[in-house]
Amino acid sequence: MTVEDAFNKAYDDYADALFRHCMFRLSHRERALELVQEAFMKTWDTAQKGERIKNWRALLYRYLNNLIIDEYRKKKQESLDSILDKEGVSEANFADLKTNSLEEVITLLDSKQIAKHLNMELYKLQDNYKRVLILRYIDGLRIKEIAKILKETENTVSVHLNRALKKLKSNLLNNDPLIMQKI
Amino acid sequence: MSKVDKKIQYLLKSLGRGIHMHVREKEAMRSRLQEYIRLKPIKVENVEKKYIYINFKKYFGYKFIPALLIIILLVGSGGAVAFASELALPGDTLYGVKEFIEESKAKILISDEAKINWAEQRAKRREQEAKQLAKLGRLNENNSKLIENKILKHKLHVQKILKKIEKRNPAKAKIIKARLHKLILTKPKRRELHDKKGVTEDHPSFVEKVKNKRSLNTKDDTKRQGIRRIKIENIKKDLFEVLKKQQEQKPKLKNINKSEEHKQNKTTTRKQIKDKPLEHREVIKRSVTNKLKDRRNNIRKIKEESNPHKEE
Repeated sequence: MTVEDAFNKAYDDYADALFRHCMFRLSHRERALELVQEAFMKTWDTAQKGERIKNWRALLYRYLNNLIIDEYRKKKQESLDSILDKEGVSEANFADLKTNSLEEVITLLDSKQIAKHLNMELYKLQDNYKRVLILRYIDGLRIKEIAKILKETENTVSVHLNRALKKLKSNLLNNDPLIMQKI
Repeated sequence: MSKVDKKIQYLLKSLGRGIHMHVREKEAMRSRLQEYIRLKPIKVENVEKKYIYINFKKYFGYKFIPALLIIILLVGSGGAVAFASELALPGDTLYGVKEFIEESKAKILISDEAKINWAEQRAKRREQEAKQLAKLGRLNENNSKLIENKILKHKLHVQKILKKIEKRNPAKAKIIKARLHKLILTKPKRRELHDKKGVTEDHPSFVEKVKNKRSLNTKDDTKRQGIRRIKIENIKKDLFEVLKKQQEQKPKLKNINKSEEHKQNKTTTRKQIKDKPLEHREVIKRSVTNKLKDRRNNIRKIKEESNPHKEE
């Protein structure tokens, strides 16, 4: 199999998953498409230099994660930063949360309000916890693979996962104490 | 894990099911990426470059320490065996290792001079082995044949190389010959070459010379022992004679004391001396001392006459 064939196969297998990941992190469709395209272009640059790529998926997710972090840094504003720090959200932008793109998507799903609440609380989380939750439950990656992508140990990834789930649960209870009965 | 936690996880998984790219968006992105690939094709040079990348964590991590230790022990033990094999003699278990190392070293050498030097050292090693075997008393026919055949091989090898060098540069060959040991320079005789054993009675080999040297030494030892015995016996004889003379001479001394002259000149007792005047007493004293002196001198003369060997 040549490098071009491997690249095309990686695109067919992982393009949707990367887009989904980017949407949950940025909540902006157009920007998510652009970042996914950039991630694929960067991987081709590394393959073109002659470097041997063993794991295309890990490399793509790594490049995408770095691009998303750069995107957060560009969109940061002072007034919003202070609010986000108080409420526990570090990098998400509330203006994007109110766009029609995400809400439309969520309304296409089941009409349960729980899913909406959960989605809202997910965006409020810190980026460290959010990305781990998205990679584990939405993208379906294992802890080993997540550790390779984020260049962290498996222990830290599992700790972040547990803490993220606890915080999610506590935030859900704080907003709607009766939500547990509904679940 | 409680039911609530499981439910939350299920909901999280279900959140992303409906989110995906549209078909048009996907195809448009694909075409753009294909154009990008055409603009930046893979260089052949980059592909041919082979980067040797060793993942140290993978091969030298904590998991592989026992395997690495075993490899280090095996390599070290091999070196120890090679070092110990240098002291091995024909008949020992490590002698085969020694031969293997010598032959492998001979194959590695390139220059003719180095080959000649190594063959010379090998012949010297065989020489030392024969001497050590003779000291230990382990020199059998089998061992001696082995050593002699090997020395012959080294000789022939050296002479082949010398012939090659002589054709190219005779002056160099002369210099090399002048430096070499006699053991290798002596040409193997026809009988040595034709005989299967490589050794004849008329032309004793090196090993036999070693054996003969040991036997000659025993004969010399017996001669020396015999000479010593003779000397001891002669000394004993002389001593007997001396003692006899002494015993014979002793009664003479007694006779001197009991001679008539002595009886006549016998001094009186002390009472008799006291009765005499002082002048006479001194004369008596002088005579007594002189007599004692004479007696002593006589004894010395007799002893000197009876022990002539001491002077010799």
